[in-house]
Amino acid sequence: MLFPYYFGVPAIEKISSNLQNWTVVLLAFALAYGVLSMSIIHVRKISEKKDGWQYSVALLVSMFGIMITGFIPPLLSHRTFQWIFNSMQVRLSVAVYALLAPYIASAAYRAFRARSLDAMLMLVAAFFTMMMNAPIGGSLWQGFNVVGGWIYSTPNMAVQRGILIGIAVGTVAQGLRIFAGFERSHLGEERGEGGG
Amino acid sequence: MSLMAPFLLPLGLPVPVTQSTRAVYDTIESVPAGSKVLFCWDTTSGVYAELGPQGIAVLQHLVSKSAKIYAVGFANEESQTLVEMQMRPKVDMSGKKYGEDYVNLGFYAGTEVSMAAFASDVQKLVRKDYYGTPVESIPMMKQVSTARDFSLLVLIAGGEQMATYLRQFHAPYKIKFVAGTQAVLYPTWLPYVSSGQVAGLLNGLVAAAEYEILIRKFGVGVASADALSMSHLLIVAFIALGNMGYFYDRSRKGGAK
Amino acid sequence: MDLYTTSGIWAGAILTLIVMSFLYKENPLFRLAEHIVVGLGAGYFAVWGMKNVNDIALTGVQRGDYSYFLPMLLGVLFFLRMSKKYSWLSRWSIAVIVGVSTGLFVRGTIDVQLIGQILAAGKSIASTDILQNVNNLLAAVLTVCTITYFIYTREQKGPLTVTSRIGRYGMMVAFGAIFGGTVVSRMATMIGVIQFLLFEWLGIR
Repeated sequence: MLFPYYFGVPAIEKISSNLQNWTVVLLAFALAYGVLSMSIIHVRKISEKKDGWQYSVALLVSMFGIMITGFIPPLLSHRTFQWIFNSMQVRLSVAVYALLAPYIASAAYRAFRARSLDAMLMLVAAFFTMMMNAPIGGSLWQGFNVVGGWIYSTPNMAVQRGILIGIAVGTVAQGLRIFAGFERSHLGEERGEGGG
Repeated sequence: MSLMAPFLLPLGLPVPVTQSTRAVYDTIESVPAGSKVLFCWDTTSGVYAELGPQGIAVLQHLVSKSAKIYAVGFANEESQTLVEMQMRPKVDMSGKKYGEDYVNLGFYAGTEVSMAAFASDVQKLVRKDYYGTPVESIPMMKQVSTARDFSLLVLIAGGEQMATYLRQFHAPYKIKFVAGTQAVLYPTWLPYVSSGQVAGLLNGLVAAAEYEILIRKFGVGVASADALSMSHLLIVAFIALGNMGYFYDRSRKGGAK
Repeated sequence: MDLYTTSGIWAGAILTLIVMSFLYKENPLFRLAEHIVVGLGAGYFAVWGMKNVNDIALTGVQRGDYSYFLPMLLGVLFFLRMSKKYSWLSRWSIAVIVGVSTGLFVRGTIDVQLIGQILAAGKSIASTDILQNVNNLLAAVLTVCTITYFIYTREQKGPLTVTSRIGRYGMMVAFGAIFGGTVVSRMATMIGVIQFLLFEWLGIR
């Protein structure tokens, strides 16, 4: 993957392209593996009548329901599949994410206190960026957009850049460790096992 | 209640357009008719409420510019089904034909790997579109072979997708980039805008409202603006109340000592 | 409105209200909805997985590209993770995935996140716009100070204390900005729910 990126050798580029396509197929199998793994866990739970086994029935019914309807030709276009996706999956996902909204309000009241200089800085930055993000902010006072915009584009951006550079250095180091064989945890080995 | 009331009694508060949104609009506006644009709305249904309106507004703009739109996803399995079933029905595509002006190529597992495979050889990875039609019978697929054939990449996603897409599309092929993301991730993605790697960045649901104003097609974004404003004022009030109580308690304890 | 659409809206509304009931108290109906959404997600992933295998590999083989038998074999080996005796065979599949992914990841990271960002940090401070010069200088200083905050290989004393403290203050401002965005994101998802319930379910306009 690295060699063809820096040195344009057509033969190696072809091998690299093939490998990438094969890995996509391999990862597609991994998606199906997740389903198999989950099915085994929940079937075991149902057969052993563990606590909450009824919910496992619902899980398996919904899983196989959407799978079967999704496979009816044309793939992913059957009316039943569309109904399940639009009315159940999307609605449930959106609702689960929406649960966080009241907790933000609660956190704002209970936890967001200017106890120290650090907290005060965070509070002031949050206030200006919130007022900038709210459409009404710019209407109440143009300064919210100016200060909020400056906070986003200068101190915030600089800090995020510093964090990005740090993460990049760590990522490259970890990648080199994987290439050199020092890091084998993804293969299920502890560090130091297998003569590494 | 502060979220519900504005829907029952709309306030019609103005929505100023920010420079960030305008940058995305101007980039897409400068795309010549017939240009091939990669449209990657690549996120989960959970954040559809925030990123869906962005996607609809941007897709509408691309359609009005008569761009050749190639929709595809690499990071989230639900993305292209959401594009086909939730977003496309809300976009006015009159006069446009599937397969000639717009095509959905589906989702490819693997995130980084599938992006690299797509970018290096589109025809090798993409054999069928979202609906299972072989690409040989899709006219607009004859014109693409690598990422270099695309004039613009529009990414609307969350998480780490900005960096991933930049690594596999922008770094090797220098494809022009605009993006949209959730407001919570907007601050973390700004370094890429500042460095010039991304031409513009949309900031959450507010940016959707701003974009709808720019393209003059009001939708969910503008409809949500009042509710967003009221909810923000409520949170600010909560923070103020919480701090007033905290400082009052502190002064009382200090006085008692 | 036809039965298909109406039933869909009612099902969506009922499921939404069941999930929202968690705000009052956790209850069996919420747990049921939780399991349903997990099941739907997992089943949906499997559909795409099989579609990808069919569209890429099986179609490739049908067209005479027999090299796709190799990833399909590796994909089948992946399932041997479940076997105690043969799970070692699945390491071949994992090794290919990790090797390819890491190579792609590293090459792009060096360009985009290292070189690209370091070059961008050194913006000009000698332009005619004094305010922009000040901003660029401040940004460059803050970037360096943020990086010094995360240096763990040297004891943080002397000048390093000053720079890491400046970095920490900068991070507090950044976290405040992230909180400002978090409010919008969370409220946006709740707005989506309310819009669905008011407009599509109750038909209030």
